[in-house]
Amino acid sequence: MNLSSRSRGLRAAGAAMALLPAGPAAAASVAFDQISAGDTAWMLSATALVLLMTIPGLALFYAGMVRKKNVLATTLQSFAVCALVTVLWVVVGYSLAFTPGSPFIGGFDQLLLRGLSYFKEAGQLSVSPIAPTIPESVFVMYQLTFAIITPALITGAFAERMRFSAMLLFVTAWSLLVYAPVAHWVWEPGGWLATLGAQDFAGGTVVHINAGAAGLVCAYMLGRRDGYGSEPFMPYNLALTLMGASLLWVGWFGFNAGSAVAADGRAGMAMLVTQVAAATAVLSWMLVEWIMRKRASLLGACSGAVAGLVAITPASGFVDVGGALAIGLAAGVLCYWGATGLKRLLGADDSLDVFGIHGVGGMVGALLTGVFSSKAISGAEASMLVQAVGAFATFFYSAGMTLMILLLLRFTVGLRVNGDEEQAGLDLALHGERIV
Amino acid sequence: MAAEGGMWVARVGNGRAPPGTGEVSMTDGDKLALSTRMYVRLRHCTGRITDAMWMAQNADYAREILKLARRGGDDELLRLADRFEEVVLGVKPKPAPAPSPAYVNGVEHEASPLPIPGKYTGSLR
Repeated sequence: MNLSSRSRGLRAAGAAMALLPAGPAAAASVAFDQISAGDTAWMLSATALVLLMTIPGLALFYAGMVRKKNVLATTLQSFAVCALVTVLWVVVGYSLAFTPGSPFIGGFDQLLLRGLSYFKEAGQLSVSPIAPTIPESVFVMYQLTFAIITPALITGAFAERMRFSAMLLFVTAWSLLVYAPVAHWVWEPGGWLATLGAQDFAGGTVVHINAGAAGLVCAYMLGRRDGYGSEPFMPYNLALTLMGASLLWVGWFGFNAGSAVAADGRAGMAMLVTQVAAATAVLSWMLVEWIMRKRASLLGACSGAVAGLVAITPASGFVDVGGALAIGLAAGVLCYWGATGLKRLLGADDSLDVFGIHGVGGMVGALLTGVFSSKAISGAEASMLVQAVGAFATFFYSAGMTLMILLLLRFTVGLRVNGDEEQAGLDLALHGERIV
Repeated sequence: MAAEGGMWVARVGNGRAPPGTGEVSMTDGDKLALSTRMYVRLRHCTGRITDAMWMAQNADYAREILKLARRGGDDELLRLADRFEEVVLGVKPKPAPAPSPAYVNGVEHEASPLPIPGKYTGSLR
Protein backbone atom coordinates (compact mmCIF):
# COMPACT_ATOMS: atom_id res chain seq x y z
CA MET A 1 0.00 0.00 0.00
CA ASN A 2 1.53 3.31 -0.93
CA LEU A 3 1.39 6.57 0.90
CA SER A 4 0.02 8.72 -1.86
CA SER A 5 -2.88 6.41 -2.54
CA ARG A 6 -3.56 6.37 1.18
CA SER A 7 -3.71 10.14 1.42
CA ARG A 8 -5.77 10.36 -1.76
CA GLY A 9 -8.09 7.83 -0.21
CA LEU A 10 -8.39 9.76 3.00
CA ARG A 11 -9.37 12.95 1.22
CA ALA A 12 -12.05 11.25 -0.84
CA ALA A 13 -13.38 9.33 2.12
CA GLY A 14 -13.50 12.44 4.25
CA ALA A 15 -15.79 14.08 1.73
CA ALA A 16 -17.95 11.01 1.51
CA MET A 17 -18.24 10.56 5.25
CA ALA A 18 -19.41 14.12 5.73
CA LEU A 19 -22.49 13.40 3.64
CA LEU A 20 -23.53 10.11 5.18
CA PRO A 21 -24.93 8.83 8.47
CA ALA A 22 -22.34 7.96 11.08
CA GLY A 23 -21.04 4.40 10.90
CA PRO A 24 -17.90 2.66 11.97
CA ALA A 25 -15.02 5.10 11.76
CA ALA A 26 -13.03 2.99 9.35
CA ALA A 27 -15.54 2.62 6.53
CA ALA A 28 -17.66 5.03 4.55
CA SER A 29 -20.53 4.52 2.14
CA VAL A 30 -20.37 5.99 -1.33
CA ALA A 31 -22.56 5.90 -4.40
CA PHE A 32 -21.89 3.24 -6.98
CA ASP A 33 -20.67 5.84 -9.45
CA GLN A 34 -17.81 6.76 -7.13
CA ILE A 35 -16.29 3.35 -7.73
CA SER A 36 -13.78 2.95 -10.55
CA ALA A 37 -14.61 -0.04 -12.71
CA GLY A 38 -11.02 -0.21 -13.95
CA ASP A 39 -9.49 -0.16 -10.49
CA THR A 40 -12.00 -2.70 -9.25
CA ALA A 41 -11.38 -5.07 -12.14
CA TRP A 42 -7.63 -4.90 -11.60
CA MET A 43 -7.89 -5.39 -7.85
CA LEU A 44 -10.18 -8.40 -8.27
CA SER A 45 -7.55 -9.89 -10.58
CA ALA A 46 -4.69 -8.95 -8.28
CA THR A 47 -6.48 -10.57 -5.35
CA ALA A 48 -6.79 -13.84 -7.24
CA LEU A 49 -3.12 -13.63 -8.23
CA VAL A 50 -1.95 -13.17 -4.64
CA LEU A 51 -4.14 -16.02 -3.42
CA LEU A 52 -2.59 -18.21 -6.13
CA MET A 53 0.79 -17.43 -4.59
CA THR A 54 -0.16 -19.43 -1.49
CA ILE A 55 -2.41 -22.10 -2.97
CA PRO A 56 -0.91 -23.68 -4.91
CA GLY A 57 2.24 -21.57 -5.41
CA LEU A 58 3.87 -21.67 -2.01
CA ALA A 59 2.47 -25.14 -1.29
CA LEU A 60 4.22 -26.52 -4.38
CA PHE A 61 7.38 -24.49 -3.78
CA TYR A 62 7.75 -26.01 -0.33
CA ALA A 63 6.47 -29.48 -1.26
CA GLY A 64 9.27 -29.98 -3.74
CA MET A 65 11.96 -29.29 -1.15
CA VAL A 66 10.91 -31.59 1.69
CA ARG A 67 11.44 -35.33 1.85
CA LYS A 68 8.87 -37.60 0.25
CA LYS A 69 7.44 -38.66 3.59
CA ASN A 70 6.49 -35.05 4.46
CA VAL A 71 5.16 -33.70 1.17
CA LEU A 72 1.45 -34.03 1.97
CA ALA A 73 1.80 -32.57 5.45
CA THR A 74 3.72 -29.61 4.09
CA THR A 75 1.16 -28.79 1.41
CA LEU A 76 -1.64 -29.26 3.90
CA GLN A 77 -0.08 -26.62 6.14
CA SER A 78 -0.39 -23.93 3.44
CA PHE A 79 -3.92 -25.05 2.62
CA ALA A 80 -5.03 -25.10 6.25
CA VAL A 81 -3.46 -21.71 6.92
CA CYS A 82 -5.47 -20.32 4.02
CA ALA A 83 -8.72 -21.50 5.57
CA LEU A 84 -7.84 -20.58 9.14
CA VAL A 85 -6.62 -17.05 8.43
CA THR A 86 -9.64 -16.34 6.23
CA VAL A 87 -11.98 -16.91 9.16
CA LEU A 88 -9.75 -15.02 11.60
CA TRP A 89 -9.50 -12.10 9.20
CA VAL A 90 -13.22 -11.54 8.75
CA VAL A 91 -13.94 -12.05 12.44
CA VAL A 92 -11.30 -9.76 13.95
CA GLY A 93 -8.04 -9.52 11.97
CA TYR A 94 -9.14 -6.92 9.45
CA SER A 95 -10.51 -4.72 12.20
CA LEU A 96 -7.27 -4.91 14.20
CA ALA A 97 -5.18 -4.07 11.17
CA PHE A 98 -7.18 -1.51 9.26
CA THR A 99 -9.37 0.49 11.61
CA PRO A 100 -8.10 3.57 13.42
CA GLY A 101 -7.14 2.89 17.00
CA SER A 102 -3.81 3.58 18.61
CA PRO A 103 -0.57 3.95 16.62
CA PHE A 104 0.15 0.33 17.51
CA ILE A 105 -3.07 -1.57 16.86
CA GLY A 106 -6.47 -0.95 15.35
CA GLY A 107 -9.79 -1.08 17.11
CA PHE A 108 -12.75 -3.42 17.20
CA ASP A 109 -15.08 -1.20 15.16
CA GLN A 110 -15.21 -3.68 12.33
CA LEU A 111 -15.51 -6.96 14.17
CA LEU A 112 -17.18 -9.44 11.83
CA LEU A 113 -16.67 -6.78 9.13
CA ARG A 114 -19.33 -4.55 10.67
CA GLY A 115 -20.03 -1.64 8.39
CA LEU A 116 -19.12 -3.47 5.20
CA SER A 117 -22.16 -2.92 3.03
CA TYR A 118 -23.64 -3.17 -0.43
CA PHE A 119 -27.15 -1.78 -1.03
CA LYS A 120 -28.35 -2.38 -4.55
CA GLU A 121 -31.60 -0.41 -4.20
CA ALA A 122 -29.95 2.64 -2.65
CA GLY A 123 -26.98 2.44 -4.99
CA GLN A 124 -24.56 2.65 -2.07
CA LEU A 125 -21.65 0.53 -0.91
CA SER A 126 -18.88 0.87 1.62
CA VAL A 127 -15.27 1.73 0.84
CA SER A 128 -12.16 1.76 2.96
CA PRO A 129 -10.57 5.20 3.44
CA ILE A 130 -7.33 3.60 2.25
CA ALA A 131 -8.82 2.47 -1.06
CA PRO A 132 -11.74 4.75 -1.94
CA THR A 133 -12.15 3.77 -5.59
CA ILE A 134 -12.85 0.07 -5.02
CA PRO A 135 -15.54 -1.65 -2.95
CA GLU A 136 -14.51 -2.38 0.60
CA SER A 137 -15.27 -6.06 -0.02
CA VAL A 138 -12.49 -6.15 -2.61
CA PHE A 139 -10.06 -4.35 -0.30
CA VAL A 140 -10.85 -6.77 2.54
CA MET A 141 -10.22 -9.72 0.23
CA TYR A 142 -7.04 -8.24 -1.17
CA GLN A 143 -5.58 -7.63 2.28
CA LEU A 144 -6.73 -11.08 3.37
CA THR A 145 -4.50 -12.69 0.76
CA PHE A 146 -1.49 -10.94 2.35
CA ALA A 147 -2.58 -12.07 5.79
CA ILE A 148 -2.72 -15.63 4.46
CA ILE A 149 0.64 -15.83 2.76
CA THR A 150 2.63 -14.34 5.65
CA PRO A 151 2.11 -17.14 8.21
CA ALA A 152 2.13 -19.67 5.36
CA LEU A 153 5.70 -18.56 4.60
CA ILE A 154 6.73 -19.30 8.19
CA THR A 155 5.71 -22.95 7.87
CA GLY A 156 8.84 -23.52 5.78
CA ALA A 157 11.03 -22.85 8.82
CA PHE A 158 9.55 -25.65 10.94
CA ALA A 159 8.80 -28.06 8.09
CA GLU A 160 9.00 -31.79 8.77
CA ARG A 161 8.70 -31.67 12.55
CA MET A 162 5.89 -29.52 13.99
CA ARG A 163 2.65 -30.96 15.32
CA PHE A 164 -0.33 -29.99 13.21
CA SER A 165 -2.43 -28.84 16.17
CA ALA A 166 0.44 -26.71 17.46
CA MET A 167 0.87 -25.20 14.00
CA LEU A 168 -2.79 -24.18 13.85
CA LEU A 169 -2.69 -22.62 17.30
CA PHE A 170 0.56 -20.84 16.50
CA VAL A 171 -0.84 -19.36 13.29
CA THR A 172 -3.98 -18.21 15.09
CA ALA A 173 -2.04 -16.38 17.79
CA TRP A 174 0.61 -15.07 15.41
CA SER A 175 -1.89 -13.65 12.93
CA LEU A 176 -3.68 -11.66 15.61
CA LEU A 177 -0.76 -10.67 17.83
CA VAL A 178 1.95 -10.10 15.24
CA TYR A 179 0.66 -9.75 11.69
CA ALA A 180 -2.33 -7.50 12.41
CA PRO A 181 -0.40 -5.02 14.58
CA VAL A 182 2.52 -4.76 12.16
CA ALA A 183 0.16 -4.25 9.21
CA HIS A 184 -1.47 -1.50 11.28
CA TRP A 185 1.89 0.16 12.03
CA VAL A 186 2.83 0.38 8.38
CA TRP A 187 -0.35 0.52 6.29
CA GLU A 188 -2.99 2.20 8.44
CA PRO A 189 -2.55 5.98 8.13
CA GLY A 190 -2.44 6.35 11.93
CA GLY A 191 0.14 3.60 12.44
CA TRP A 192 3.39 4.77 13.99
CA LEU A 193 5.63 3.69 11.11
CA ALA A 194 3.27 5.24 8.55
CA THR A 195 3.39 8.46 10.54
CA LEU A 196 7.18 8.36 10.58
CA GLY A 197 7.17 8.06 6.79
CA ALA A 198 8.44 4.52 6.42
CA GLN A 199 8.11 3.34 2.83
CA ASP A 200 6.84 -0.18 2.31
CA PHE A 201 4.92 -0.33 -0.91
CA ALA A 202 3.79 -3.92 -0.90
CA GLY A 203 4.91 -5.60 2.29
CA GLY A 204 8.67 -6.03 2.47
CA THR A 205 8.47 -5.24 6.16
CA VAL A 206 4.95 -6.40 6.99
CA VAL A 207 5.23 -9.70 5.16
CA HIS A 208 8.84 -10.69 4.60
CA ILE A 209 10.86 -9.31 7.52
CA ASN A 210 7.97 -10.28 9.75
CA ALA A 211 7.84 -13.86 8.45
CA GLY A 212 11.62 -14.19 8.30
CA ALA A 213 12.11 -13.18 11.93
CA ALA A 214 9.33 -15.50 13.06
CA GLY A 215 10.81 -18.31 10.98
CA LEU A 216 14.20 -17.97 12.60
CA VAL A 217 12.72 -18.13 16.09
CA CYS A 218 10.60 -21.12 15.10
CA ALA A 219 13.68 -22.93 13.82
CA TYR A 220 15.50 -22.38 17.12
CA MET A 221 12.51 -23.28 19.26
CA LEU A 222 11.56 -26.42 17.37
CA GLY A 223 15.14 -27.66 17.31
CA ARG A 224 16.91 -29.51 14.56
CA ARG A 225 15.37 -32.39 12.66
CA ASP A 226 16.69 -35.86 13.46
CA GLY A 227 19.70 -36.51 11.27
CA TYR A 228 20.23 -32.84 10.43
CA GLY A 229 23.82 -32.29 9.41
CA SER A 230 24.64 -35.99 9.36
CA GLU A 231 22.45 -37.43 6.64
CA PRO A 232 21.18 -35.98 3.37
CA PHE A 233 17.60 -34.73 3.29
CA MET A 234 16.75 -35.41 -0.33
CA PRO A 235 14.20 -33.00 -1.75
CA TYR A 236 11.16 -34.84 -3.08
CA ASN A 237 10.85 -33.22 -6.49
CA LEU A 238 12.44 -29.94 -7.46
CA ALA A 239 10.21 -29.74 -10.53
CA LEU A 240 7.38 -28.99 -8.08
CA THR A 241 9.55 -26.27 -6.61
CA LEU A 242 10.05 -24.76 -10.07
CA MET A 243 6.29 -24.77 -10.66
CA GLY A 244 5.73 -23.19 -7.28
CA ALA A 245 8.38 -20.55 -7.86
CA SER A 246 6.86 -19.74 -11.25
CA LEU A 247 3.43 -19.31 -9.71
CA LEU A 248 4.97 -17.10 -7.04
CA TRP A 249 6.70 -14.99 -9.70
CA VAL A 250 3.53 -14.43 -11.72
CA GLY A 251 1.39 -13.99 -8.62
CA TRP A 252 3.81 -11.36 -7.37
CA PHE A 253 2.48 -8.97 -10.03
CA GLY A 254 -0.76 -8.98 -8.05
CA PHE A 255 1.21 -8.51 -4.86
CA ASN A 256 3.28 -5.52 -6.01
CA ALA A 257 1.35 -3.93 -8.86
CA GLY A 258 -1.87 -4.57 -6.95
CA SER A 259 -0.53 -2.54 -4.03
CA ALA A 260 -1.06 0.58 -6.13
CA VAL A 261 -4.76 -0.14 -5.43
CA ALA A 262 -5.46 1.30 -8.85
CA ALA A 263 -5.10 0.39 -12.49
CA ASP A 264 -2.70 3.20 -13.22
CA GLY A 265 0.84 4.15 -14.18
CA ARG A 266 2.22 3.36 -10.77
CA ALA A 267 0.89 -0.17 -11.00
CA GLY A 268 2.60 -0.45 -14.37
CA MET A 269 5.90 0.78 -12.92
CA ALA A 270 5.57 -1.66 -10.03
CA MET A 271 5.01 -4.54 -12.42
CA LEU A 272 8.01 -3.56 -14.55
CA VAL A 273 10.48 -3.22 -11.67
CA THR A 274 9.18 -6.46 -10.15
CA GLN A 275 10.04 -8.36 -13.31
CA VAL A 276 13.44 -6.68 -13.63
CA ALA A 277 14.47 -7.31 -10.03
CA ALA A 278 13.37 -10.96 -10.11
CA ALA A 279 15.27 -11.63 -13.33
CA THR A 280 18.40 -9.86 -12.08
CA ALA A 281 18.37 -11.83 -8.86
CA VAL A 282 18.06 -15.13 -10.73
CA LEU A 283 21.17 -14.24 -12.69
CA SER A 284 23.15 -12.95 -9.73
CA TRP A 285 22.30 -16.00 -7.57
CA MET A 286 23.30 -18.35 -10.38
CA LEU A 287 26.52 -16.42 -10.95
CA VAL A 288 27.51 -16.64 -7.30
CA GLU A 289 26.62 -20.32 -7.26
CA TRP A 290 28.70 -20.87 -10.36
CA ILE A 291 31.68 -19.12 -8.84
CA MET A 292 31.37 -20.94 -5.51
CA ARG A 293 30.30 -24.40 -6.66
CA LYS A 294 31.19 -24.53 -10.35
CA ARG A 295 27.57 -25.02 -11.40
CA ALA A 296 24.20 -23.32 -11.45
CA SER A 297 21.27 -25.22 -10.01
CA LEU A 298 17.53 -25.22 -10.56
CA LEU A 299 16.91 -24.69 -6.86
CA GLY A 300 19.36 -21.79 -6.94
CA ALA A 301 17.55 -20.15 -9.85
CA CYS A 302 14.18 -20.56 -8.11
CA SER A 303 15.64 -19.19 -4.88
CA GLY A 304 17.16 -16.23 -6.70
CA ALA A 305 13.80 -15.38 -8.24
CA VAL A 306 12.07 -15.41 -4.87
CA ALA A 307 14.91 -13.39 -3.31
CA GLY A 308 14.60 -10.70 -5.99
CA LEU A 309 10.83 -10.61 -5.64
CA VAL A 310 11.09 -10.27 -1.88
CA ALA A 311 13.65 -7.48 -2.05
CA ILE A 312 11.78 -5.39 -4.64
CA THR A 313 8.51 -5.67 -2.71
CA PRO A 314 8.92 -2.64 -0.42
CA ALA A 315 10.47 -0.59 -3.21
CA SER A 316 8.22 -1.56 -6.10
CA GLY A 317 6.14 1.62 -6.15
CA PHE A 318 9.06 3.94 -5.50
CA VAL A 319 12.03 3.01 -7.69
CA ASP A 320 12.91 3.12 -11.37
CA VAL A 321 14.47 0.38 -13.47
CA GLY A 322 18.01 1.26 -12.36
CA GLY A 323 16.98 0.81 -8.74
CA ALA A 324 15.36 -2.51 -9.59
CA LEU A 325 18.55 -3.77 -11.24
CA ALA A 326 20.60 -2.81 -8.18
CA ILE A 327 18.13 -4.31 -5.72
CA GLY A 328 17.89 -7.53 -7.72
CA LEU A 329 21.67 -7.83 -7.92
CA ALA A 330 22.10 -7.30 -4.18
CA ALA A 331 19.24 -9.67 -3.34
CA GLY A 332 20.70 -12.56 -5.35
CA VAL A 333 24.11 -12.26 -3.72
CA LEU A 334 23.03 -11.55 -0.15
CA CYS A 335 20.22 -14.10 -0.03
CA TYR A 336 22.63 -16.76 -1.35
CA TRP A 337 24.79 -15.94 1.63
CA GLY A 338 21.72 -15.91 3.89
CA ALA A 339 20.76 -19.44 2.85
CA THR A 340 24.31 -20.83 3.05
CA GLY A 341 27.00 -19.00 5.05
CA LEU A 342 24.72 -17.12 7.41
CA LYS A 343 22.64 -20.24 7.93
CA ARG A 344 25.71 -22.19 9.06
CA LEU A 345 26.70 -19.30 11.29
CA LEU A 346 23.30 -19.16 12.99
CA GLY A 347 23.17 -22.93 13.43
CA ALA A 348 19.40 -23.14 13.26
CA ASP A 349 17.65 -25.78 11.19
CA ASP A 350 15.54 -23.35 9.20
CA SER A 351 14.29 -26.17 6.98
CA LEU A 352 13.43 -24.26 3.82
CA ASP A 353 15.46 -21.09 4.46
CA VAL A 354 12.63 -18.75 5.37
CA PHE A 355 15.00 -16.43 7.22
CA GLY A 356 17.78 -16.72 4.66
CA ILE A 357 15.55 -15.59 1.82
CA HIS A 358 12.57 -13.71 3.28
CA GLY A 359 14.30 -12.23 6.31
CA VAL A 360 17.51 -11.25 4.54
CA GLY A 361 15.71 -10.29 1.32
CA GLY A 362 13.21 -8.21 3.25
CA MET A 363 16.00 -6.37 5.06
CA VAL A 364 17.88 -5.75 1.81
CA GLY A 365 14.73 -4.40 0.19
CA ALA A 366 13.69 -2.21 3.12
CA LEU A 367 17.13 -0.60 3.43
CA LEU A 368 17.74 -0.20 -0.29
CA THR A 369 14.34 1.44 -0.64
CA GLY A 370 15.87 4.23 1.39
CA VAL A 371 18.69 4.44 -1.15
CA PHE A 372 16.88 4.09 -4.48
CA SER A 373 13.44 5.53 -3.79
CA SER A 374 12.74 8.30 -6.29
CA LYS A 375 10.75 11.29 -5.15
CA ALA A 376 9.51 11.73 -8.70
CA ILE A 377 7.84 8.33 -8.49
CA SER A 378 6.92 8.08 -4.83
CA GLY A 379 6.08 11.71 -4.18
CA ALA A 380 7.99 11.68 -0.90
CA GLU A 381 11.57 11.65 0.31
CA ALA A 382 12.77 8.36 1.72
CA SER A 383 14.97 8.20 4.80
CA MET A 384 17.46 5.43 5.35
CA LEU A 385 17.13 5.96 9.10
CA VAL A 386 13.37 5.60 9.06
CA GLN A 387 13.63 2.54 6.84
CA ALA A 388 16.06 0.97 9.28
CA VAL A 389 13.85 1.81 12.25
CA GLY A 390 10.88 0.18 10.54
CA ALA A 391 12.82 -2.91 9.52
CA PHE A 392 14.50 -3.55 12.88
CA ALA A 393 11.45 -2.69 14.97
CA THR A 394 9.43 -5.21 12.98
CA PHE A 395 12.19 -7.80 13.21
CA PHE A 396 12.52 -7.59 16.98
CA TYR A 397 8.79 -7.32 17.65
CA SER A 398 8.07 -10.33 15.47
CA ALA A 399 10.90 -12.37 16.98
CA GLY A 400 9.92 -11.51 20.56
CA MET A 401 6.23 -12.20 20.15
CA THR A 402 6.91 -15.41 18.25
CA LEU A 403 9.14 -16.58 21.07
CA MET A 404 6.43 -15.91 23.65
CA ILE A 405 3.74 -17.67 21.63
CA LEU A 406 5.95 -20.71 21.10
CA LEU A 407 6.94 -20.89 24.76
CA LEU A 408 3.29 -20.87 25.73
CA LEU A 409 2.50 -23.63 23.26
CA ARG A 410 5.54 -25.69 24.21
CA PHE A 411 4.38 -25.88 27.81
CA THR A 412 0.75 -26.56 26.96
CA VAL A 413 0.10 -28.58 23.81
CA GLY A 414 3.73 -29.24 22.83
CA LEU A 415 5.38 -28.16 19.62
CA ARG A 416 7.13 -31.10 18.11
CA VAL A 417 6.19 -34.59 16.99
CA ASN A 418 7.92 -37.47 18.75
CA GLY A 419 10.92 -39.30 17.33
CA ASP A 420 8.93 -42.20 15.91
CA GLU A 421 6.52 -39.86 14.15
CA GLU A 422 9.34 -37.80 12.73
CA GLN A 423 11.10 -40.94 11.53
CA ALA A 424 7.94 -42.26 9.90
CA GLY A 425 7.16 -38.91 8.31
CA LEU A 426 4.39 -36.47 9.06
CA ASP A 427 2.24 -37.63 6.15
CA LEU A 428 1.64 -41.02 7.70
CA ALA A 429 2.13 -40.21 11.36
CA LEU A 430 -0.11 -37.13 11.51
CA HIS A 431 -2.50 -37.46 8.61
CA GLY A 432 -2.67 -41.17 7.80
CA GLU A 433 -1.82 -40.54 4.16
CA ARG A 434 1.22 -41.08 2.03
CA ILE A 435 2.60 -40.75 -1.44
CA VAL A 436 3.14 -44.20 -2.91
CA MET B 1 11.60 -67.22 10.42
CA ALA B 2 10.71 -67.14 14.07
CA ALA B 3 7.05 -66.76 14.85
CA GLU B 4 4.97 -67.31 17.94
CA GLY B 5 1.20 -67.66 17.86
CA GLY B 6 1.16 -66.50 14.25
CA MET B 7 2.53 -63.07 15.16
CA TRP B 8 5.92 -61.50 15.21
CA VAL B 9 6.76 -60.69 18.77
CA ALA B 10 9.49 -58.61 20.36
CA ARG B 11 11.85 -60.70 22.45
CA VAL B 12 14.13 -59.54 25.13
CA GLY B 13 17.21 -61.40 26.23
CA ASN B 14 19.99 -63.24 24.51
CA GLY B 15 19.27 -66.89 25.15
CA ARG B 16 19.27 -67.86 21.52
CA ALA B 17 22.02 -69.46 19.58
CA PRO B 18 24.28 -67.05 17.79
CA PRO B 19 23.88 -66.85 14.07
CA GLY B 20 26.19 -68.91 11.98
CA THR B 21 26.33 -66.85 8.91
CA GLY B 22 26.26 -63.25 10.00
CA GLU B 23 29.29 -61.11 9.28
CA VAL B 24 31.16 -59.76 12.24
CA SER B 25 32.53 -56.59 10.78
CA MET B 26 30.16 -54.53 12.92
CA THR B 27 29.79 -54.52 16.66
CA ASP B 28 26.67 -56.06 18.10
CA GLY B 29 25.56 -52.59 19.10
CA ASP B 30 25.84 -51.39 15.52
CA LYS B 31 23.82 -54.32 14.25
CA LEU B 32 21.16 -53.76 16.85
CA ALA B 33 20.98 -50.06 15.99
CA LEU B 34 20.37 -50.88 12.34
CA SER B 35 17.81 -53.55 13.22
CA THR B 36 16.01 -51.10 15.47
CA ARG B 37 15.75 -48.55 12.70
CA MET B 38 14.19 -51.19 10.49
CA TYR B 39 11.84 -52.16 13.31
CA VAL B 40 10.57 -48.58 13.64
CA ARG B 41 10.26 -48.08 9.92
CA LEU B 42 8.46 -51.36 9.34
CA ARG B 43 6.06 -50.67 12.14
CA HIS B 44 5.07 -47.31 10.68
CA CYS B 45 5.02 -48.26 7.03
CA THR B 46 3.54 -51.75 7.15
CA GLY B 47 2.16 -52.15 10.65
CA ARG B 48 4.34 -55.25 11.19
CA ILE B 49 5.94 -55.78 14.58
CA THR B 50 9.33 -57.43 14.29
CA ASP B 51 12.00 -58.61 16.68
CA ALA B 52 14.86 -56.18 16.37
CA MET B 53 17.14 -58.03 18.75
CA TRP B 54 16.64 -61.40 17.08
CA MET B 55 17.15 -59.82 13.69
CA ALA B 56 20.60 -58.70 14.79
CA GLN B 57 21.41 -62.23 15.89
CA ASN B 58 19.85 -64.59 13.37
CA ALA B 59 20.66 -64.33 9.71
CA ASP B 60 17.72 -66.46 8.52
CA TYR B 61 15.27 -64.35 10.44
CA ALA B 62 16.96 -61.21 9.15
CA ARG B 63 16.63 -62.38 5.54
CA GLU B 64 12.89 -62.90 5.98
CA ILE B 65 12.50 -59.46 7.47
CA LEU B 66 14.44 -57.97 4.59
CA LYS B 67 11.99 -59.61 2.17
CA LEU B 68 9.16 -57.96 4.07
CA ALA B 69 10.95 -54.64 4.00
CA ARG B 70 11.47 -54.83 0.25
CA ARG B 71 7.76 -55.45 -0.25
CA GLY B 72 6.94 -52.37 1.84
CA GLY B 73 7.41 -50.01 -1.09
CA ASP B 74 9.16 -47.40 0.99
CA ASP B 75 12.40 -45.81 -0.17
CA GLU B 76 13.82 -45.51 3.33
CA LEU B 77 13.03 -49.19 4.03
CA LEU B 78 14.77 -50.20 0.83
CA ARG B 79 17.78 -48.15 1.76
CA LEU B 80 17.91 -49.68 5.23
CA ALA B 81 17.50 -53.19 3.78
CA ASP B 82 20.39 -52.64 1.38
CA ARG B 83 22.51 -51.31 4.19
CA PHE B 84 21.66 -54.24 6.46
CA GLU B 85 22.46 -56.78 3.77
CA GLU B 86 25.74 -55.13 3.01
CA VAL B 87 27.14 -54.58 6.47
CA VAL B 88 25.49 -57.34 8.53
CA LEU B 89 24.98 -60.19 6.07
CA GLY B 90 28.00 -59.34 3.97
CA VAL B 91 26.11 -59.24 0.68
CA LYS B 92 27.94 -57.10 -1.79
CA PRO B 93 25.77 -54.33 -3.16
CA LYS B 94 24.59 -54.79 -6.72
CA PRO B 95 26.59 -52.61 -9.05
CA ALA B 96 24.65 -49.63 -10.21
CA PRO B 97 23.64 -49.84 -13.87
CA ALA B 98 26.14 -48.16 -16.11
CA PRO B 99 24.98 -44.68 -16.93
CA SER B 100 23.70 -44.48 -20.44
CA PRO B 101 25.44 -41.92 -22.56
CA ALA B 102 23.45 -38.82 -23.20
CA TYR B 103 22.81 -37.83 -26.77
CA VAL B 104 22.11 -34.30 -27.78
CA ASN B 105 21.50 -33.64 -31.44
CA GLY B 106 22.98 -37.00 -32.26
CA VAL B 107 26.23 -36.25 -30.47
CA GLU B 108 27.30 -38.37 -27.53
CA HIS B 109 28.12 -36.41 -24.41
CA GLU B 110 29.66 -37.45 -21.17
CA ALA B 111 27.03 -38.40 -18.61
CA SER B 112 26.24 -35.83 -15.95
CA PRO B 113 28.35 -36.10 -12.84
CA LEU B 114 26.75 -37.63 -9.77
CA PRO B 115 25.51 -35.28 -7.05
CA ILE B 116 28.26 -33.75 -4.99
CA PRO B 117 28.92 -35.76 -1.81
CA GLY B 118 27.45 -33.95 1.16
CA LYS B 119 24.78 -32.25 -0.93
CA TYR B 120 21.58 -31.68 1.09
CA THR B 121 23.39 -32.56 4.32
CA GLY B 122 22.84 -29.70 6.76
CA SER B 123 21.93 -27.33 3.97
CA LEU B 124 19.28 -27.38 1.29
CA ARG B 125 20.85 -24.81 -0.99
